[in-house]
Amino acid sequence: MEDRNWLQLQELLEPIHVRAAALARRLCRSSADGDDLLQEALLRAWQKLSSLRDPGSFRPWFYAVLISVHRNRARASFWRRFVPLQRNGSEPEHDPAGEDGLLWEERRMRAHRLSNALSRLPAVQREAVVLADLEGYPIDVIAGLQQVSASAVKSRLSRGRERLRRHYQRLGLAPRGEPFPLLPEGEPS
Amino acid sequence: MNPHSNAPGGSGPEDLRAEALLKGDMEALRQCSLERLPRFENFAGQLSEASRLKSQEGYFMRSIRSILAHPGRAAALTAAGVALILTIVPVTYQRTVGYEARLRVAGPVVPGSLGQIASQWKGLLGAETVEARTETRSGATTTTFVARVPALPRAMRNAAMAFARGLAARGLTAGAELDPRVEHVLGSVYAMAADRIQEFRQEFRIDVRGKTEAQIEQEIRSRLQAVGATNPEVKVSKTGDQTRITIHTDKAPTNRRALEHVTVGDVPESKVARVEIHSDHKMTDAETKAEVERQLKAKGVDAEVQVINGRINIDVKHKK
Repeated sequence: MEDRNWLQLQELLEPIHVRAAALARRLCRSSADGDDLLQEALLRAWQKLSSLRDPGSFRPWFYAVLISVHRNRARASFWRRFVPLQRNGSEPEHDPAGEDGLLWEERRMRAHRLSNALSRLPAVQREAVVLADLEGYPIDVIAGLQQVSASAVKSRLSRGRERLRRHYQRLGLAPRGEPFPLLPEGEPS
Repeated sequence: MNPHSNAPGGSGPEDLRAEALLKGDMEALRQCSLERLPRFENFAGQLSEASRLKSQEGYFMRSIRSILAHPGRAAALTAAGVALILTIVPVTYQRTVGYEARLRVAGPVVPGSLGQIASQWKGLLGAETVEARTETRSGATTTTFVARVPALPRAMRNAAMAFARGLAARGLTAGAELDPRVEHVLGSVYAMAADRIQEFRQEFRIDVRGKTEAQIEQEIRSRLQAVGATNPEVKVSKTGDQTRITIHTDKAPTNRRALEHVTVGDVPESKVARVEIHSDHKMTDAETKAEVERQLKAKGVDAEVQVINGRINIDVKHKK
């Protein structure tokens, strides 16, 4: 039974694997943490796959599992302080050289700065901001994933954005050049 | 979705710079989070192994994971467990169930004075009965008067010792021994703590037979002072079948006892009601009245209670 579940999960996961892995990383402070989160979410999904009635709705179902696992990990964050985590964000496997290398390094620095800022938010606000502003999901979809009302999502989103903005203001940094172009509004990355 | 479309903050240069910085960082994070993602085949293989290990994970590890994921729930369970241990798991302890006051009188006692001493000893301690034992060893006779009482306040101890010394003044060699009566009990920690608190309670009974109102007042006053009441005012008046007892004490006792317990009784044959007033709680007159009435009613005592400025008036109604 469990082997059959596992095979079915692999089939369902393959089309959304990249996006799910990216979402997990964006929710966490480091890529390693994100990969751990995804792995834990997959194990949870494997155990609960029998509760998935419609395979066509696997993506929102799996994202809801991912959000749930993320919330549990956030609750247990006190204990996790005592577990040394490898932060692969600061250990690149390769360093592009030349101008590309400079851009790549700057991008990593900026991504790291935002990850740090996001990690300061409560888990529910962090999820709302990542799902809305980084993943591009509409409010009603986020409400379904977080299993709360749309107004609650709006509140979380507003508070999360405000806290992020204040954090950036406190940093006292300002880009000298043009900001990085954003993806067109509403288009998931 | 534009993260800044509903920004409630201001739109000064600082805010604009912060927003522009934030937008750029979001795009950077989008791109970085897609770098070097594990290939699905490798990922699936690792997960397969992880799932195999997970399925072999024992109950203990699953419990640990659950606790780490829900620390609030774990704390509640721990508290419930401790409460369960305190109320269920039995421990052996000693409990004071009363006191035994022994008055030893050496030498032969005149039969007439035997009853007199026993009666005085009984009245002094407020005991219901006094047992007299006479022993003769090596030609020496010793008479022991044994009284068992539920409580033995300090004033009563002093009075008992003074009584023994008073007998010596009458030519009798006497000594008093006051020992607690303990029993070994198997009970919960909660019950043990409750018994320990109970031992701090003080109560006394007064035999009013053959005593004048002034004597009763004096006795109640001295007993109240012995249990820590300051400036007690006591007034006793008898009218036919009714006995009116008015007691007023300062609410804060001078000693360190947590509770002050006053036993107010009438003739021994009648019902005895104990009224407990927590001196560490500041109660209004109405609250005090309600509390005294509640306790009296619970004891089946028909009485009228009045409380004015902390002064408690109790009219006990006797039924023939």
